[in-house]
Amino acid sequence: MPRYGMVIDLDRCVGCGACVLACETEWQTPPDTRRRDWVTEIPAQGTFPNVERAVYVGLCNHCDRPSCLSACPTGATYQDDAGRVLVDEALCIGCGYCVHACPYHARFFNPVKQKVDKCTFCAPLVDRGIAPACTRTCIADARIFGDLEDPASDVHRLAYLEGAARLETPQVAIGPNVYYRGSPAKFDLILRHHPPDPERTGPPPAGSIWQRVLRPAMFAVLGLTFLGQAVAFFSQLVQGEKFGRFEPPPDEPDDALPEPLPASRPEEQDHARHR
Amino acid sequence: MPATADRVERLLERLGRALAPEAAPARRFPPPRRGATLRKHDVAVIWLHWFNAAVWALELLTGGALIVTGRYHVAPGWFQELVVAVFGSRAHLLRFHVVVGVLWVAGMLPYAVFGFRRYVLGFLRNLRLDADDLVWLWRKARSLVRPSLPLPPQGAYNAGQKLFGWVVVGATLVIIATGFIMAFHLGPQALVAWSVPLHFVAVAAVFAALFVHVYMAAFMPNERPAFFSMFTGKVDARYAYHHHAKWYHEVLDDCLAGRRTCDAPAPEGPDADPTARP
Repeated sequence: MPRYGMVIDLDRCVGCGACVLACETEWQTPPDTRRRDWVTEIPAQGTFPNVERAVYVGLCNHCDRPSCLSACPTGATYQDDAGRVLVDEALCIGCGYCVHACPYHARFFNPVKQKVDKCTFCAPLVDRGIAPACTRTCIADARIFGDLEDPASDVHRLAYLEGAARLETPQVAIGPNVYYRGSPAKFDLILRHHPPDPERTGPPPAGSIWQRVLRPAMFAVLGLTFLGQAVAFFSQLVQGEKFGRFEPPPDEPDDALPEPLPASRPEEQDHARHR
Repeated sequence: MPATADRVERLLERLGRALAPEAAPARRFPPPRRGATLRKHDVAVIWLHWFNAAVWALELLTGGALIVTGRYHVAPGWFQELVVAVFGSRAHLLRFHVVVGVLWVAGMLPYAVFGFRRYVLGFLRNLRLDADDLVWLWRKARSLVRPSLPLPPQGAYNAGQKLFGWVVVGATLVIIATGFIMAFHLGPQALVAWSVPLHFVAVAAVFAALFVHVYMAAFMPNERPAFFSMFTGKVDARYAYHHHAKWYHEVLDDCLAGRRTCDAPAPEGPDADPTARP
């Protein structure tokens, strides 16, 4: 199986944003929401003549160890054989746990579909042999897409042999498969301004409280009640079924006839007799 | 030590009176004849009970298999695979879970709309905890060390059943609300995010209480009459006299006063009505 990846050439990118437009058009992502990919300009830093600027080109990194995967309660988020991290829309309930669990902010809630949306590396196109929309439209060939496992591919050469870098920090190293090549100063600028967010590697409070508090509490309560019933049943087995059996008190005659009762309404008695 | 226990008991009694002011005591009736029965459940209630039981069985089965992620899962992997294999895919499983949930609400809705007074208000009235109930709970706990303690008389449900009833009522509302929010994405995303654990906790609360409920009904020898009443609708009058004394007297009083239609079969038969004289 292939292992898809992308290399972004920071020296070639001019920040035109055509790739974002191509993606929006291809996948019909609603306007005014977050997108599947983005181009963010980092303004010039430093004093003349030592000035550096960079354009942060981002998308889902289709990480080796995606933190979004384990945050999804329904298993809608999965990683396919080609290493792509995808969302099964039939299973997604739009709870947004995965959105919170992506340190790259690469996932968003799509208000039209009411599901979580993200870059798929254009999986439906790639599977038909068509390159991803963003790479086809890039005027400078700054996005290079391909199979990282294929020694003949450009991405293999750039990522593994020519030392393109991953957007990782010591805190967040989950194996992103989008690599950056070009001027190290540009890459440092991006890493400084848009590092992976260490606060965003797990589900939101709703999910973490569920995992850490509610789930163990449920097992404790279930275990205790089950144990209680088991003890009661075993004592029933040991003692025979005398345990808690209903027995009228000894002073109550077994065939006690009711004492004379106050007369009920005559029409009711008639009714009773005729039934 | 007993002095402290008694003081707690008096405190609970006062609290109970504040919760539910004592109704006028019903007339005292003698114990019923052997074999006499009293009608406890309407046919509609029996159907609702078993419909509810079937839905719970299906929803627990499918719901348990729907939470697949390691962080939150409750059922082991082999169980999830088994259920998914039955349904073909997880998408089918999720759809089934939602459809059964919606049918559950649809099945209960007529009771809430057309039977509001009888089946909603009537049920909630039976769940009111009074002074006898709080003392019953306290003495039941104390009877673990002092089994000879007498228990106060109980209504249609005993205090333990009433607590179970409140758990079920509260959890049912939470399960329906959060279920609809998740299935149809109602409301802002934070609401959907919190609905997942809330749905889970409400189900877990009922599931834990369900162990006790099923054990009491199906396994406990002295609750046999209550178990069979969920099929026949009738309960052994002698059992009611001893386990639900307040209800027994209330029923007889209502029957005589014409506030309740009562079964009045031939007095000689096995269903002899304690109110009818031979």
